[in-house]
Amino acid sequence: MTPDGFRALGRTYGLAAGLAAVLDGFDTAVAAPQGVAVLPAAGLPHGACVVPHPFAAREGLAVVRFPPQSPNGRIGWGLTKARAVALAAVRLGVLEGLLDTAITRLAGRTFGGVPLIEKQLVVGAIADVLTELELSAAQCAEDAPAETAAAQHERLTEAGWTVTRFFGAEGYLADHPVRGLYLSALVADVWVPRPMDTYPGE
Amino acid sequence: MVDLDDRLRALRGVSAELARELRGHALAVDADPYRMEPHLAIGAYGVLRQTMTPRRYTDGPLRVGRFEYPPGSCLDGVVRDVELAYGDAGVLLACPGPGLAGILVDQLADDAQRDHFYGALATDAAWSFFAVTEPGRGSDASALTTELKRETPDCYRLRGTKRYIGNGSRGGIGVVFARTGSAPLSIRAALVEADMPGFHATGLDMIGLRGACLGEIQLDGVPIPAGMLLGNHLPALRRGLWGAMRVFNTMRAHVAALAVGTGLALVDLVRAERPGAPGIDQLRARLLACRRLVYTAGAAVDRDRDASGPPGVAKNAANALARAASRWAVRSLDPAALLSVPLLEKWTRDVCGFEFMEGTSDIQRQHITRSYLKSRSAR
Repeated sequence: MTPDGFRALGRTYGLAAGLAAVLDGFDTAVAAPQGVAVLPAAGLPHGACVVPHPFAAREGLAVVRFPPQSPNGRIGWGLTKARAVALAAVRLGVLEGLLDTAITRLAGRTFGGVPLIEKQLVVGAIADVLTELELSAAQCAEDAPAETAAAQHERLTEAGWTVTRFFGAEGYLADHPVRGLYLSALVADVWVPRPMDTYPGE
Repeated sequence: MVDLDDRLRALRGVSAELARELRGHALAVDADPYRMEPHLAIGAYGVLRQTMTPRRYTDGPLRVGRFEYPPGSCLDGVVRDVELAYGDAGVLLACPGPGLAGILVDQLADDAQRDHFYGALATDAAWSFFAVTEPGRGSDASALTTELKRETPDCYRLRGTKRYIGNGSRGGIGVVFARTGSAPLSIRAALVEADMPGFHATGLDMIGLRGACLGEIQLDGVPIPAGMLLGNHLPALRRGLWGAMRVFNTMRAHVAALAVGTGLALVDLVRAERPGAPGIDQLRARLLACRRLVYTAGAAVDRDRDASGPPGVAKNAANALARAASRWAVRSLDPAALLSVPLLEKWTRDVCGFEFMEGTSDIQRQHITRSYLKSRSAR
């Protein structure tokens, strides 16, 4: 499947379906970083022990831990190269879908009699997200070096946070579809290997 | 800028000690925030109630050594809350007691109303609510539509829906803002009890800070005795939203305190797992600077409850820093830490909540700029 295909899957069917496609044919028990993974809740592999999470199940996901394979535990490299790109594309699709929902909401609400969608701060923030989406999609098509994946996913997490805020307090409810953006970040945090980072500022 | 004197340093010290116990309850409260019996004896809860309840309803003010801490000081409150939030902000927000409603009651209520309100909160397991926000109207408090209609000279009826209300589904008494007419000054606050007919509340499942127990309250003709309207003894300008705005200024400083405390906790969590993690000194220095901003905001509110600039600056700075700290913490540790150190995953959710409390960052930006322009034109 191409990055565009993964993106469409994420947008149309959501994070769990997209993640299932990304992990298709992958031995998650071996690849899970240090035995930790976020997986589609349907059809968990043998040995996966589900760790309680307040809302992962609502999105069709499970946070799991695999038992240690040896006294040294597990290593597990996570998602690299094409699968890290595929996950980025799925996350792009999820983000696009929720941006669309957010824009409908912003257009239908007013503050001081003015639709939120016309407020300059909101207009600017939407433009920033759209720009990031295009840039990230281009990066998916660019065959970028594997070590750039973590930075790309972090940018998607930040764009997701901007979209989350478009929902106002609704954006903090676990029974709202926006939970997909919190879980999208968690999936990347668990699955995408990263260099141990420095503090870049807020 | 505020430098803490011996009195405030003593309060900070005792709060830091209490935070250790509080943290021990964090994961359980996050997992099931409505099951509070195992947590009601937390020492910090006693201190919170003592410092938020007027003297006449307690055994006296909090004392630490030779110092006293009477209720009502925003600076005392933020010094306390930075430390308690270092323990865990979710557990702090789950504390029974007067909360935001108490701040408004202290400003607008007469003696009989205060007796009624604090009497209802006299047990260890009684929560209160402060209901301004409505579905679809968010931060635009002036656009609220909940109706308070006079039925007889002695009784009103309350109709409408309130949403995103802290302790909304477990509070036994609280304050509800509603309209008696269409004019701006027709917004009033009423003391409301959850056991009145027509009062229906449901909990909202939250991403993080789950101890806050947001809820939705439906008011279907709730009878309100005229004596329960707050501010009857005050000029019309000071009865309604004026009071709410002053409560929000106070609470923004407190939310900033929660954010700074959580950020500092994340720094020390990483330090414990990975001493010398790159960026740790830089981030901690920013957080300590932000703590100073929070103290300054608390002092500014104590000088002038209408001050919206300093709390806005503190809240925006702290909110952004706490979230940056959570992202840095995730990136600084290996992926397994999200499970092996459960507070990391929890605090990563919690820090997002500060954005939505008492006005989003875009709302704060407006307060900050307006406040600056006002002071500039006065120069």
